[in-house]
Amino acid sequence: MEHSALSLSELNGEIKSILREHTQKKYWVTGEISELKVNYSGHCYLELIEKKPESDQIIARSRATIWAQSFRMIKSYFETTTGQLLREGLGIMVKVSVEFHEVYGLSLNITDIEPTYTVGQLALKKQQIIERLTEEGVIGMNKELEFPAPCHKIAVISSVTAAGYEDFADQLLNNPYGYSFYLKLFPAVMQGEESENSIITALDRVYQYEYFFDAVVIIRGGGSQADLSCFDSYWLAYHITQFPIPVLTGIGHEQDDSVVDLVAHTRLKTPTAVASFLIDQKAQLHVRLEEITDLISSRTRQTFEMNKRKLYDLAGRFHYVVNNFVVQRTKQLELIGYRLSSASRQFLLKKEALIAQKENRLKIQTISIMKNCQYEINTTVKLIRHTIRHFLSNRSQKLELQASRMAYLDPEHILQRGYSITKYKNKALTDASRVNPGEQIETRLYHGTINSTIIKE
Amino acid sequence: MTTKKLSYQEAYNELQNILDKIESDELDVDELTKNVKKASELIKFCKSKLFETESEIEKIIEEMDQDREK
Repeated sequence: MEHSALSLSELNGEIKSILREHTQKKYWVTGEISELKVNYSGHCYLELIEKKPESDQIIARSRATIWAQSFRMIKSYFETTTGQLLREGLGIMVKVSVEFHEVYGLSLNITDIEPTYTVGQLALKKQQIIERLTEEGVIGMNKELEFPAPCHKIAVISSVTAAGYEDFADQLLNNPYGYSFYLKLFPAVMQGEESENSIITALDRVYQYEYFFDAVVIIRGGGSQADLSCFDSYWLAYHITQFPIPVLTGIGHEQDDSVVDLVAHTRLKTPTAVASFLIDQKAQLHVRLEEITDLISSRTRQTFEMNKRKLYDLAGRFHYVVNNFVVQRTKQLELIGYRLSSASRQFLLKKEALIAQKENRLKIQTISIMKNCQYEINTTVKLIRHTIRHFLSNRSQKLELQASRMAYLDPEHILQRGYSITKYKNKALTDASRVNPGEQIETRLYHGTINSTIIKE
Repeated sequence: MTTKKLSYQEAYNELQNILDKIESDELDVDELTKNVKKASELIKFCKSKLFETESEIEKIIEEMDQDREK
């Protein structure tokens, strides 16, 4: 069996010529940089890949080269436009020609780049991270933390060598108001591939003292364009959202806010802006304290003034009221006095009149009574006189009669007429039984007396 | 006043309370005097928190360094 064989170089030469004939001179191609190396002479060697969006499975791979003279221009154009270093992991759109070299094989020669594609890709990626954080419900968590008052114990995550940290510390600690701050640096790599893990590690260290610190500040000195892709990292952003104390950023890049800026409690442009913010926070507290002091003192002064005025008014009114009272009472007393005197005078007058009246009546009555009495006395006297006279005349008549009667009754007269009086024991004897024989009796006659002795009864 | 336990926020809240009371004219002169005295203590305390450095805190920060060196 006879085969006609080509040498490898013949074959490769064949492939090379077919490729040259059947491929266009230039293509615009999109892909992701999976490897990037720049050698000593300034040539850039890359590996480009394409992944399945849903599974990250690599479905194409190719080597690529940017020759030194193009690379300087492409790199600078790309980095100024995107704000990103040309680095591994970036999606790019490049103008290529397909090259085949008998020794080195297939390679893409990059002659131009379209940075806006990368910007779009990055924006898309960033958007996806933001959406993920939003869906997970964590994106606003650090922002929701209350900013401590006062905020003065500050953990700083920064690079030790960065000028940014020095400026920050200097501005904060030598603030013109003399506010006190405590700084503690937790060093971290702030750019490049290591930075994401380095910053996360620093955050973990701060986390050990979460009850001590009031806030975490992530700062990075500005200056040259550098690889800041770590600040669009999902994991770093996620860590920040979960951090229990407020995170402040001053990452110092001019482009759009990074995802880290977006999730941070407060996002500021530069380290000095962070320092100003912290000083300002204290100044606000200070101003508020001064305001309260002023309010309290002015209010207190007002209240005292008001009370003093009230007291003064009261004293004035008191004086007036007392005066008024005294005047009124005096008037009342005077009135009462007047009424009393007039009433009593009237009373006296009335009584006097009454007495006079009574006196008058008494006089009249007395006179009348006396007249009556006089009359009665006169009448009586007359009566008595008359009666006496009458009585006397009557008596004298009676006496005369009596006398004549008496004269008639005189025992002498009777004796004369012949009658005698027998006496026993000197008493006229009227009963013969009373004398016994032998006893003496006396018999009186008109002339003389006879003594007899009883012989027989 | 127990300055040790009191935080700036607590002191500030109390200060705000006193201010509210004073502004609402609820207080008589005696109470006002008492409250103003309290307020001035609180203001002093709050200001000290803004301005004074406490060696205690600096010591804690130093100890953090030692922890890391271990």
